[in-house]
Order: sequence, then C-alpha cells, then structure tokens
Amino acid sequence: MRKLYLLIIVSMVILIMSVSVFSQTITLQVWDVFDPVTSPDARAREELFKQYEEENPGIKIEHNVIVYADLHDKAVVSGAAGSGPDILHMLGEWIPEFSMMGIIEDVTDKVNSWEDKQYFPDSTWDVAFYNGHCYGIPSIASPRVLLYRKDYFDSVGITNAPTTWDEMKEDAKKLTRDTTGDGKTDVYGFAFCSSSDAIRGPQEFLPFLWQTGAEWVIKENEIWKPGFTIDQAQEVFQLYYDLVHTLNVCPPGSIGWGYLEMDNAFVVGQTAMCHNGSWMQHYEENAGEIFKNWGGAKMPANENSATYFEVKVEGIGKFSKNKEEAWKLLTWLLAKDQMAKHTAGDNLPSRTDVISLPQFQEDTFKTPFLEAISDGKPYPKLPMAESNKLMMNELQNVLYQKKTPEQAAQDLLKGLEDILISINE
Amino acid sequence: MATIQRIRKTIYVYKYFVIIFILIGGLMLYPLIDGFYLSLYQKNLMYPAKEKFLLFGNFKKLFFDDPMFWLVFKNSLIFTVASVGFEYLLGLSSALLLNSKHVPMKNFFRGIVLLPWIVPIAVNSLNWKWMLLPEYGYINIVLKVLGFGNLARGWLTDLKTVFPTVILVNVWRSFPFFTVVILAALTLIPKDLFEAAQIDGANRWQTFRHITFPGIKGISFVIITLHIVWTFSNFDVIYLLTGGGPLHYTEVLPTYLYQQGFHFFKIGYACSIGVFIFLFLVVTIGFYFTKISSIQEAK
Amino acid sequence: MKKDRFVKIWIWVGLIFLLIFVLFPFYWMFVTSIKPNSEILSSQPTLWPQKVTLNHYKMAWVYGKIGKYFKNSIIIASMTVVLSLLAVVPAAYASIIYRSQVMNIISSFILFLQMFPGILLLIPLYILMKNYQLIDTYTALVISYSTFTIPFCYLLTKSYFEGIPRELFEAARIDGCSDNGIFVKIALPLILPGIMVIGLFSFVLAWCDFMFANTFSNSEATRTLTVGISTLQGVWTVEWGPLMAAASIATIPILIIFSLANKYIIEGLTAGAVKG
Repeated sequence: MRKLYLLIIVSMVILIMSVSVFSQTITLQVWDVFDPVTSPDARAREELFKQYEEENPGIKIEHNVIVYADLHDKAVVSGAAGSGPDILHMLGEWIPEFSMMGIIEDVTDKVNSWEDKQYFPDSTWDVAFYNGHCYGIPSIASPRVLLYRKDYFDSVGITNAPTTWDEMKEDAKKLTRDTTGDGKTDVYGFAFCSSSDAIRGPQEFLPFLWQTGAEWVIKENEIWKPGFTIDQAQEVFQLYYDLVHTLNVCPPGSIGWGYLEMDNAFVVGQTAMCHNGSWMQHYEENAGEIFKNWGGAKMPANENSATYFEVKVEGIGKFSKNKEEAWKLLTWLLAKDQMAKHTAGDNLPSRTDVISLPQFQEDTFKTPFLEAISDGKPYPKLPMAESNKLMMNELQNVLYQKKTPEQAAQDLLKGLEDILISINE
Repeated sequence: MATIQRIRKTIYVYKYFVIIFILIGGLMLYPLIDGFYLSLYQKNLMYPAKEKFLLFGNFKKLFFDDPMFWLVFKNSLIFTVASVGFEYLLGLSSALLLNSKHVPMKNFFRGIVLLPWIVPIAVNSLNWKWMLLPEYGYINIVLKVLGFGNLARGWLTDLKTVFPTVILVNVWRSFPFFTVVILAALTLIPKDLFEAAQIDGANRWQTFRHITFPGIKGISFVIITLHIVWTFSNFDVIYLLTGGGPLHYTEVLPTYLYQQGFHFFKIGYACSIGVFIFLFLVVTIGFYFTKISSIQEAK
Repeated sequence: MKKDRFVKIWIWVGLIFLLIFVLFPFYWMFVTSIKPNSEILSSQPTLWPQKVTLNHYKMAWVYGKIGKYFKNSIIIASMTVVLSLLAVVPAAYASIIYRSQVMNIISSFILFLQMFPGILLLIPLYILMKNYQLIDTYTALVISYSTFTIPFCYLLTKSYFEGIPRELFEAARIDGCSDNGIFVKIALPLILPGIMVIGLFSFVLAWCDFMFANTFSNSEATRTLTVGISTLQGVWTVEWGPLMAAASIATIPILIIFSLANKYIIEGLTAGAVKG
C-alpha cells in the first residue's frame, strides 16, 4: 500500500515536470473564437499561423479557440489573477471594461506609428480607442442588415424590401401565412431576439432606438446621461409589442428567444425577415438551395436610418511576456494580403483596401452590408453589460404583457439613470 | 495515556487524512477565506482602485435593498427541493427495478441509465434547448405525431412551463447518480436477509420496509444531503438553458451571483451572495445533522 | 409461477419506460450527428434520417482534434479517480474504526467546505495555480477536481463502510488479523461496488467539467474533451452535426468502460464475497 502511494506521488511529480517546457522558442498564445471545424476562415487563419511559424523560426503559435461567452470569462479570470494571452480577440464592447480592468495593453504609440493605420476606417478605430488610448487593431467590421426571403416576398407580391417601420409592419403582416394548406400559419413575418442572455437582443434594440433619433447615452461635461426620452423608448417598445401581439407576425413561443432559436427559425424558413449579420453567409455551403433565396437590405428607418456596426478588435494582453513579438504577429496577420485570406467567407474585413477587392465587391450577398456601413453605429463607449440586461428585462416585461410600453419606457429610463450613477462616480 | 503514545496514536490514525488535508487545506481554504474577505468590500473589477471596506454593507444591501434577492432565494429553494426530491424518487425506483433478478442484460441497462449524467452539460443543454423549440423542436413534433399537438408550446419561453421544464432537465441529467449509488448499496444487502424474509412469508412492501429500506437509509441520507448542497449551489444547468430568464423566472442564487460577478464585475457583492449560500447551507445541513443524530442516539 | 410472470411484465414495462425516458434525447443527438445538414436545417425535421452521412464525424475528428482531447480527458479523469480513491478510502475506514469527537468534526468540516459555490473559487484558485506554475498542466485540473470529489467520496465511502456488520470485523480480529489486514482482506472487498461508484463519480466529474478545464488550460496540449466539444458550438451559429458527432464520440467509450467494469467487478463480487 505504501509503495503504491509512493508510486503515485512520483509519477505526478514526473508529470508536472514533463509538461513544463524548457526551450528557446517563444510561444505566442492566441485566444480567439475561430474554430477550424466549422469555419473555412478559421482554417485559413490556422494555415497563416503555420506560414508565420515557417517564416519565423523560433516562434511558435498556440491557438486557443473558445466561444465568445467563455472567452470573455476566461480573459476576466486570468486577468484578475494577473495573467493572460499574448493576443486576445475581443468584441468591441469589451474594450471599455477590459481596459478599466487593466487586462489589455495600451498600444496607442504602436498604432500611431504603424504605416497601415490609414487603411482602417476611423469608425473602426473609434471602437478600438477608449479614453484616448488604443487597445488593439480592428479586424472585423460589419453592420447588421434586414435579412429576408426573396422568394417569400415574391409569393406575396412585395417587390422591394421595406424602408420604413410602417412598411415593415405591413409587409410582415402580408408574409405571415399558411403555405402548406393545412389551415395553420407556418411562415411568420418577423423574428427578433429578446433573451435574458442579452447578447443579440440589445444589438437589435439599440438600432430601433437610434432610428427614433435617440441615443442610449450622451456625454455632457464628462458626465454620462441617458440619451433618450420616455416617448422615444415607448415608441420602440410599442413596435415590438405590435409585432408580437397586435399584428401576430412573430413565431409562437418566440418571446425570450436568443440568437440560436432566431437564426434557426430563419434558416429553416419559419420567418421571412430578421435582423442579422454577414456571418449568415456561412450557410452558403450548408443550406445550399435555401441560401439562394436570401437577400439583404438596409434596416427600415424611422426618423433616421441607423444600424448596429459591429467591430471586433484584436489586442495584446497586458500580462503578455512577448509584447513585441505579439505585435509583430498581429500586424502581419492583419496586413492586406493575410486579412483577405481569413475574412473571405464568414465576415467582413475592416480594412478599406481589403474590402475593395473584387472578392468582396462582387459578392452579391455582401452588397447590402457594404451599403449599410455608412449608417452603422457601434455600442456607446461605456461598460454595457448592465444596460443590456436592463433593455432585455424591460422588453420582456412588455412582451409578456406585465407592463405597458409606457411603464417599461419609464422604468428603462430610471434603470439607466441608476446604472449611470455608479459609472459616473 | 502518556503523551508520546497519544501522539503516536494520533499520527497512526490521522496519517490517512494527509492527502485530504493537503488538498483541501491547500486548495480550498485560501479561496474560501478570500471569498469571505472580499464579501466585506465593495469591489468592482473595473474600478480596482475604488475598493471600499463595507463590513456588512453588501449583506445589508442584499437582504434589504435588493428586490431580486428574495425572489431568487425562493427560486433556489424550490429548484433544490423539487430537483432532489424527484431525483431521489426516480433514482430509487430505477435502482429497485434494475436490482430485480428478472432484469435481462443487467449490465447493458445499468450502463445505459448512466447516459444523461455522463454527457457534459454543455452539450446536453444545447441539445435540450433545441429539442424544446416551439414548432420545430423534436419534443413538440413527437407530441404532434402522438396526437397531443395541443400540448405543444415553447417550453422554455412560456412563463408557466419554464421553471418545471428546467427542473425536469436537471432531474433527467442527475438522477442516474442516485440510481448507481443506491444500486450499489442494494447489492451490499446480504442476500440471506431476503431469503429469510421470503421464507417468513413477507410480501413486497414488508420486505422493502424492513429489509431494503434500512439497508439503504444511511447512503440515502448521505447522497440526499450532498445533492442538496450541490443543487443549491449549481449554476451551469440553469445558466445554459435559460440564462436565468425569462423575467428572472428561473433565476437562482448561483446564476445571480455569476451575473453580478462576471458580467457586472461587482465581485464584492458576488462574494457576499456566495457567503450567504455557504452559511445558509451550513446552518441548514448542520441543523439537519443534529436532528438526525439525536434521533439515532435516541434509538 | 403466475406471480412471477406478473412481476416480469411489470419489470419489462418499467424498463421500457426507463429506456425511453433516458434515451429519447440521445436518439435525437445521435440521429442529428448522421443527418446531412439539409435535413438538420429543414422546416420539416425528419425523425429518421433520409440520408446518412459520416461527414460530421470526420470533421469533428480531423479538424476538431477530438482524438487528442479525448486522450487528455482520459488521463486527467483517471488520475482524478486514483487520487480521490487513495485520499478517501483509507481515511474513511480510519474514521469508522477510530471514532472520536475530533473525527466527527473533521468529517463535518470536509462536508461543509463543499458548500461554497464553485464559480467564486475560480479566480483565487487561478491565482494559486499561477503561483505554483500549474497553469496548463494536468496537475492543476487533477487536484482541483479531487478537491471537489473528495468530500462526496469520503462521505459515501464512510457510509458504505458503516453498512458492514461489525461482527465480521470482530471475527477477523479474533482470528488474529491486524487492522490493516482487516482493511485489505475484508472491508475493501465488501464495499467494492461502493468503490466503483466513487471511482465512477470522480471520473464523471472530471470528465464533464467545463469551468475549470476552460480556465486552467490554455493550450491544446492539455485541453479536455468537454472544452473541445464546446467550441464546436460554432463561432456565429450552432453547428449541430459536428457537435452531436463529437458528443457521441465522447460518450460511447465511457459507456463501454463502465459496462465492462461493472460486469467484471460487481458480478465477480456477488458471486462469492459476502459469504466470507
């Protein structure tokens, strides 16, 4: 028995020692979401990593793939403990909170002296900057559009995508119908996200709010204030309410849906229209026939047109031990030729010189996205986690008919004021 | 006894606990103390410089100023009691079933019943979410095929069914553990006791009451206790299925804690919720233990 | 034997219900893993695949590196089992032989430590692991998991030991057996099904955990299967095919291992040991 104990302890020690690597190579840890099983762009990215390793002996790249939600938590936990990756892929909205936590590196000087800086639009640099400091290079930048089924539109005689809220409501009503002849509606006009996860939902809510002419927050004299009136918020809640309850154009049981359910509903053909992003091109391979029927258009406008502009930023971890090497890799990876290779399919590149390449310009699916860029607005530049949850909570209150749109609008404003108190401190 | 002999005896007995002490002392004490320590502070990971010592400020806010807390606490209690209750019933029945001598291919069934438990919850929850979709979810399709089409609904989006559904999924994935543990205990009951009972002409219920149940009472008590602890502080099932929603109908203490700590970065407040969970469990289980041992001593 | 037949029918009914209850989600999981995407993503999802494809399995295995993660998970889970058993079984035995107030306090303490929610332990534990250079090692996960399995296993084992009639120990002692001897020759064999349960529990906990595996491992060298499978959720959309394929790959070997272990250990035990 005692011998067994000893054996175990010894083997564990050996195991510990064998996993720590003593070598001359520098290992760069890259944490991102690009998973080679499901994404050709990710496979291209890994090919590029291999190429970099060949061209730069002495550098080894460790690619750690994890989905966004878990990537966020992993960065937070390791950051709080004083460690982290060399290169971190981030959603633009993480920049305020991560920079305040002190887990990403300030690369303002590096960026300002980078010759490729001019090829990235200012709107994308805007997301990577916080409080005057830059925290990474924007790699992906794409707006959201109204995605719709052209064949459904044709069946009910709609020739153009709706351009106003009223048109959208009318079209949705026409599109909601029974296509199989069994007496039950099986196609619905519109679907959206309102899940408590608050991932995609706020990205749809905010454009509606912006389209009423409001902002979520505004900064006056260094103080954040709510940027909307109760009337404007009420208008937005009323729209959602009308879609679900007054006009009945949303799939049954869809209150509280997240992106998983909503995207699925669109792909299987249950819904005719939804807000969505350029990653839906991913279905070109998988959904085959159906994909040909998809079209995109700018989101319908109200007072003005606006849409959510999503920018993803790749930055350097604050606790990286190889910041110079990491920067070299990053600037190489996001150079024109490389970027063209790894953003070819699933998403839109940020660089103007890449996006003007034929493969992007001539791809008809991508056209509405390119057109929508000028209307694109990113998230406001403050930590949005609490705000997002607040938006979804009040939206659910309206949809589950626990509050009227007016009450919800009042509570939304009050809730935001409470959140801003602690942010402004 | 002389001191040296005392020390000798102590070492002799407690040397077996060395690994446990090292692991638990080394790995759990520090985080535990750290958690308690942080709960006394108003600390937000985003504003590391603005740490404020509050003593019981977080707790005061939790109990008196936070409208969410009591709702979430109530949900936690219902979730735990309902889950563990059904898990035990299901586990006990399936263990009794699988222990019967009439069961063919015993090992096959005992292996199969494990499946819900050994598939990682990350995969299970996605699968369930997809199956529970209204209209095109597997469950609703099967209901329609079987003629119960009017029952079909958005199980996770209908306010009336979301909580029971979440409990069902949790029970489904956890009950195999009960089955396996109770089954093991059943096989340890000496067979001659059963034979004697049969000779004495005892019927099923009497056999169960006087032989089977006492044989598994000890183990039942242990696993129910442990599962209460585990379910009350369990976060992943609910979080992955509903995120605590909709409208906080499935929000429990751990998911609330997670949101406060990892999304809002209010780590001090999150720790105070954690401390509450800890103390609540300690007090409840401790109370339960003393009651049980006084009953046992009275025997 | 009419009574027997009656019972048999009910047993069969019970078994069928149990099977359906346990298996229906897995039917869907498995069927999805062999369906082509056109059937997965259709508005009339088929309950039985019209066409079968093994492409998802290929994708999961080749690109998803499931083989490598599988190896890591097996190693980590097995080591967790070994460590938990070593730590717990002798201690539980000692606790029922040498009863004392202190022993009770220790047992309660071990239980109570469990009651702090795991997620809050993440950051401090990470700091600890970092300071001991244990990030990205098997050891970090093995000892973390053991810390969680030990209280459960300790109390369970104690309970199983308590189920052994004292007379057996007395008889052996009279025969001149030492405490260690009793442990090895009598106590241990008698609770073998219990040991199996504890081993299984430790294995499953280590196998299924996501939180700690995700946080403590950065590189592919130490990534576990559960973390690897989770990435198959896909970047922007959920890829049901490869995800279910990976889940199937992950589950079936465990099932086989357990069934085999069950067969050899339990059946071997009930054949003879109790009479001793």
